[in-house]
Amino acid sequence: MTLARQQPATDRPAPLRPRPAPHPLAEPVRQLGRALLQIVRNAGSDLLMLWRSLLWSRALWFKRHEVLRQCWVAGIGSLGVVAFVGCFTGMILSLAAGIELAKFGQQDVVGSLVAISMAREMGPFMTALILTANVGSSMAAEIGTMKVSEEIEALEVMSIDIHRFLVMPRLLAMMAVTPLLTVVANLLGNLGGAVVGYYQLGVTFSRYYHNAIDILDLKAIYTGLFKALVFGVIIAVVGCGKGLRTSGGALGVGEATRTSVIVCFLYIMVFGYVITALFYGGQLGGG
Amino acid sequence: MGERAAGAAARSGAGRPGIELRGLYKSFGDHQVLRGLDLVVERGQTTVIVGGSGTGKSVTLKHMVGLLKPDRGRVFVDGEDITEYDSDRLVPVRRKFGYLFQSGALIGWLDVFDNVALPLRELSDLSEAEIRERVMEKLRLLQVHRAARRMPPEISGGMRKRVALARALIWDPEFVLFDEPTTGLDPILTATVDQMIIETRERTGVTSVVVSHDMQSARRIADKIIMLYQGRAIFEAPPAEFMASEHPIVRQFVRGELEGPITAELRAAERGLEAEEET
Repeated sequence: MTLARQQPATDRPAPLRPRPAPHPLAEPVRQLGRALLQIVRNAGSDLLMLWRSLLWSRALWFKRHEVLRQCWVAGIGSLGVVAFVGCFTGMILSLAAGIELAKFGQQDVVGSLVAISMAREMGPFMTALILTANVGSSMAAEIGTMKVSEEIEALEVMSIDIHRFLVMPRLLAMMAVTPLLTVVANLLGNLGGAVVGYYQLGVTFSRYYHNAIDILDLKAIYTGLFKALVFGVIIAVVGCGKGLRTSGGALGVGEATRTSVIVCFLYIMVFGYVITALFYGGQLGGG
Repeated sequence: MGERAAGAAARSGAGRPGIELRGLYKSFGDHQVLRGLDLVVERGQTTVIVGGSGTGKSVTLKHMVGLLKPDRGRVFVDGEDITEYDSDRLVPVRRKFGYLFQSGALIGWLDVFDNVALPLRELSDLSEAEIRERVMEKLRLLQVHRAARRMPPEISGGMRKRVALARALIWDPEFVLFDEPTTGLDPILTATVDQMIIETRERTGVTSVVVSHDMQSARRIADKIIMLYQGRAIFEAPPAEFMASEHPIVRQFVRGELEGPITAELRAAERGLEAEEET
């Protein structure tokens, strides 16, 4: 009030010094920072969810029916596609490699090549991609719909732990189903590879089989199955996490579903590389 | 109120404050929803909270069970300050509550029976026979026992609300919160749901808090109506007094008039937004 009396009524407020124009890169950098923070925040919340859900696996016997239901949904629902894609992956590998190997008269080793590629890399990878599209996206959509229709809040009010009720059965089911489906993809891939080898490359089934068995060691098998297990965890955690963070009605559910598929693909690529590097990186002996 | 209701009310400790909200502030981003809300829900009564869309009615309800935490202010349930409680400490508090969500919030892959049985199966050591007995008792109470094995999408909106109420009542709660229970229902179903709320209170003596913008419904079921406006409780009274109020905001809301302080405020806000967009 004192200040107001001291100034004549006609006085205009002192003009503010114009603020310097923001650097043209300021806004993109800010947005990038926000996006990175969001990624870190989401990864943190997903890891916490994973930990809590793993702790609830002690309730496996109590939730066995729900775990089996999830295994059925994920496993049987994807079995046909996994078998088909696995078979064609083996056929493509066999044909593509066989054509080049035949130039050197080495087409007989196609069995080794398909077997090792399927066991270590292509089996778990193709299975994970199919499960991401088929199961991970549906987890995100299902839980996202529950979120926007207040079902998650209803569970919270009833003091029902969502990690035990929703996430744990899906997580355990994916941890069981992904390696099993990977085995199916590997078997069918080798079958497809052998058929292509026999009819197009002139490699007998017996030779294909012996080459495949010779190259396959325990390490190749458990590396592939371990990869499948990790991919299963990724699909369940990303699908459930995206679903639980859904907001904004039907549009939000669509967004959660779409981004869950993309994020799963990225994680599968990165973790696929990291696991191969961990198990086989030492064999290079370079550097 | 009948003899049974009077007995039930006496058992529930009627008249004592059950839920108290003191100076509640809550915002979502830039949007300030609650601005110093003070509200008391007395035990054994049906309190109806009315107000226009976006005035914070559902937000108020969610604070009562700790689904939302206030930015400022305190929440008391039976005199216990639950404002800072985490989800573990909220378990015994939430056990006192049943919550009927606007959509019913029934789990889509469980049938009616399993939806109502869900809290008992997840949180109690009751045998399947005991669970069956309790669930069927609640389903009979709300006259939906014949639909026990039907899936939520196969039953009508009114039935879904009754099933959701059966689930909310499964622990015999002391408080039941209803979030817009009659929204989207036809007049007959609305009257049915109102009757369901009245009968539930008469039979169980439960304390009810109903969020609604349906004045007909509020008049039928309320012991007390509270009007929320701009994040504050601006008026409260028994239904008859509320309907006859000369408070300008209450009067416009009750009569549904186009001209009045509520619409003037909305227009001013719209003008402000337009000016903001122009600058």
